[in-house]
Amino acid sequence: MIAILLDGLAFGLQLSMLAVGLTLIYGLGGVLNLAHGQFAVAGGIVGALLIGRGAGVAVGIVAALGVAALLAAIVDVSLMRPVYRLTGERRVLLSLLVTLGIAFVIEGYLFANHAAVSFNLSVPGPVVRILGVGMRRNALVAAAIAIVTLGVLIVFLRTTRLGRAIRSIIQDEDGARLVGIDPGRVRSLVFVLSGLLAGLFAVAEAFNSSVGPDRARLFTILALIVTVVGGLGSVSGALVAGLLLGVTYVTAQFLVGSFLTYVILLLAAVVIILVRPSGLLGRAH
Amino acid sequence: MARTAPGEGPARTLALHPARAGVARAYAPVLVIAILLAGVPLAVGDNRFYMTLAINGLTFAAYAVAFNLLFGATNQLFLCLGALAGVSAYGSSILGNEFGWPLALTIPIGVLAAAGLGGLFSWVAVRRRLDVIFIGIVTLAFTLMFTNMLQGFSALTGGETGLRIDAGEGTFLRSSVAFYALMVVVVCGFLTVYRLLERSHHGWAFRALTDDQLAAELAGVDVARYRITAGVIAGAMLGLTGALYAAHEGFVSPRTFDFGDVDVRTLVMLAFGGIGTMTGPVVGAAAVTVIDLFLRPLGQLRLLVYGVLLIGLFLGFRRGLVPAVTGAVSRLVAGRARAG
Amino acid sequence: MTILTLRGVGKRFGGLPAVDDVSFEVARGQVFAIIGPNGAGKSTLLRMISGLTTPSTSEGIWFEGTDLTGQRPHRIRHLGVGTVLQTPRVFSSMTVLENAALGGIFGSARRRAQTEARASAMEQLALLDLADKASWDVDALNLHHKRLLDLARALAGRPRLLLLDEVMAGLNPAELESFIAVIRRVRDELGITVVWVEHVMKAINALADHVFVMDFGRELAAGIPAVVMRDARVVEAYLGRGAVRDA
Repeated sequence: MIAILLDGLAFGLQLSMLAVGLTLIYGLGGVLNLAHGQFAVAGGIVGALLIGRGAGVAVGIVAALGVAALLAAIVDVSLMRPVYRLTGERRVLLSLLVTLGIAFVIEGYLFANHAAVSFNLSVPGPVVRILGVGMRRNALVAAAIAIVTLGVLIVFLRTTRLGRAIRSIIQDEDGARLVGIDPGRVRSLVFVLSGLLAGLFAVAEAFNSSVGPDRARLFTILALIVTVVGGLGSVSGALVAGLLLGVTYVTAQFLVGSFLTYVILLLAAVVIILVRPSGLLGRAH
Repeated sequence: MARTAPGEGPARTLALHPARAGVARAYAPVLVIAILLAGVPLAVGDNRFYMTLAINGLTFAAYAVAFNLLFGATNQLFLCLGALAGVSAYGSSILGNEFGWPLALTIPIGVLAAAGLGGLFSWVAVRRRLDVIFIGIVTLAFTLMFTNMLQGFSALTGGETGLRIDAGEGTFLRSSVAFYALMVVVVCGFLTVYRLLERSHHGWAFRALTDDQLAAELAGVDVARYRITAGVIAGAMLGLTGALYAAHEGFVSPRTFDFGDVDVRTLVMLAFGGIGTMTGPVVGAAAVTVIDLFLRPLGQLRLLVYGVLLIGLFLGFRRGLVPAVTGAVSRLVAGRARAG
Repeated sequence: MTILTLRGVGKRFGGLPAVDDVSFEVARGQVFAIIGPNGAGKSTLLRMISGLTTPSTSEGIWFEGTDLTGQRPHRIRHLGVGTVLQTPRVFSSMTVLENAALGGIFGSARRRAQTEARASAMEQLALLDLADKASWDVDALNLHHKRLLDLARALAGRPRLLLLDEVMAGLNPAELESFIAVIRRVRDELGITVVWVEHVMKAINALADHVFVMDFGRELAAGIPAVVMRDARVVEAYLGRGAVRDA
């Protein structure tokens, strides 16, 4: 039972890390990025290619993070510009459709050129025992990456000036503008940050299992579901929802087959969305 | 935004003609489409490759008309087109295979199931006041549940390998020209339904509720009722199309109703043809089917091209092909009239 | 004769009462004005009558004997209650005439035919001096005309009660005069009862038969305008917080 809980929490932390990037740019830019998982995978593939050509693991990891962040930056300053000109629901909808297109462009390119490449990292060594439960070293590294990332992110949002600016814009964009914060610039920074988070997710996932073009869509969908369940724009909501769905997922996997696990996960998500359309910790609209 | 911007689409001038006036004009496009589509087998002969392609195109035209009714007419972003078609296709096939029931019984059951689910999603969305994004996410979750259930209950569904269908063996459904003809009737039937709705009070209600839902309610429009009506009818359309296609192929697999292959393709087609126009879905389906033919040598890069197309359509050429062309034509005609 | 009765109607947002235990009666044929400082809960009250907001507490909102509490807005419209909100809500994919006709088609319990609705919409537009703009795109209208169009759509269903939410806000003096004349005609010629949330005192003094003053979500005073306006509490509520927009 403890094994399931630990596994679930580890998986949940990774889900949270994936979803936080999505929820931040929704909170700041009012856009949903359906290419989030593709950013992560693109970063991972570049890392894998570099490592395959003899570069060090550290170089591969840095490249993975850099590529994911760079892709996010490029999308923000190019294709998202016309999207930002719209407001409200229209903006979300257009962002959805445009980023779906971006997701296809990335996926199409990766499938055509690097279909068989996958990003795998591992630390050798025996199983580690925690609370009497054996955990794979790789899984622990992945969980550690997630914990450190989320921890740093929370400290960043709470203590730094930029972090506070981000939180104030999420709460009240007009108010933030009045006190001299430029939402456009902060939004671009957050887009890059979300790309970086996607890259970090890819690195963690590379330890845990593997990151290849065929997984991009799943990553995006998981991020989307966790974000919505947690409440669009709510960072703490994404954390809670990630952990909750992670534990649900692993528990279901233990009890029923792997396909029905997804059914249960999705059902849980739908029920939460229907009971609380604003999400677990989202503000009611 | 996908919808035609105020004051630029021709839909506004077509849709709200006073009742009765221009009945011929309103339904002429359906007739023209029927004639053009009927010409395809004559043009390509009984060529297996082209007939398969044409049947595929028609199937997607039917999906696109249904999607237009949901997304174009009532602002409901259903991301479960393939799943609804699949529920009906798998349902009717399994009933036929397991109990030996005839298609005449199993297809209506499949259609009813899809219509019921379509209505249910609309009802839930209205009751919970979900906006367009949330409808999208809930229906997307349904799509994923559906695909995973196909795998999870593989004893019944055949899992990844798919399911052979016995019913329909040896009937006209398996002949490509006859089935093509049936699909022409189906698509034109769907278009007629669309136009009937558009010209009735439904059309007024649809436009009001997509323009401003709150104002529509204050004006006395039962928004829930009209949304659910659209959900039920579109669900039935998707169900009928899916079940017929399965009976024709004699085989269904998760690929047949895959999200990327069905929902996204339909979205591209509708965006291409023109969201909220009657003929847009058919024009878009035809165009994308032909483009697909030329892109075939590209292999996986096709996905990339679709991505570019999607971005370009929604950012630049937002109105779609049909409004752009009719707009250009009417400007031309108006220019001539002024010159003469 | 009473057309509308409210008993113990209240609304809380996150624990804070916006409207608190309000009761009143509106006589048929009156212009019943609801006034008060900003944030007094006037618009929330109006939205509860029109069905846009569900009351947290209500012993009843009776319109001609039917309880409107919890009914959906379109049902309330079908019962004979038209609503015009402060921000004009127009259908931008339709022409001016179509906007008005829509109210005629859907505005009563029995749906009306499109041709009939168009004809009667034309009459409404003529009544409101919008007939010459019937074929315009609504987005070409200014604020004043959009409000009039909203009013035309509300009237197209032949309601017996009209709810107006700060419809004078943002109008210039000439537009104000013409809008006052329109509401007078609605009451005197069409015989429609008007419940009217308003800030513009000049319009209220010109038209109101009965004034209901709210402050902090509660009734502060009520009665005929000449008396209520001199009530010390009312004067203080207004002048004390400087909420007077038009003296």
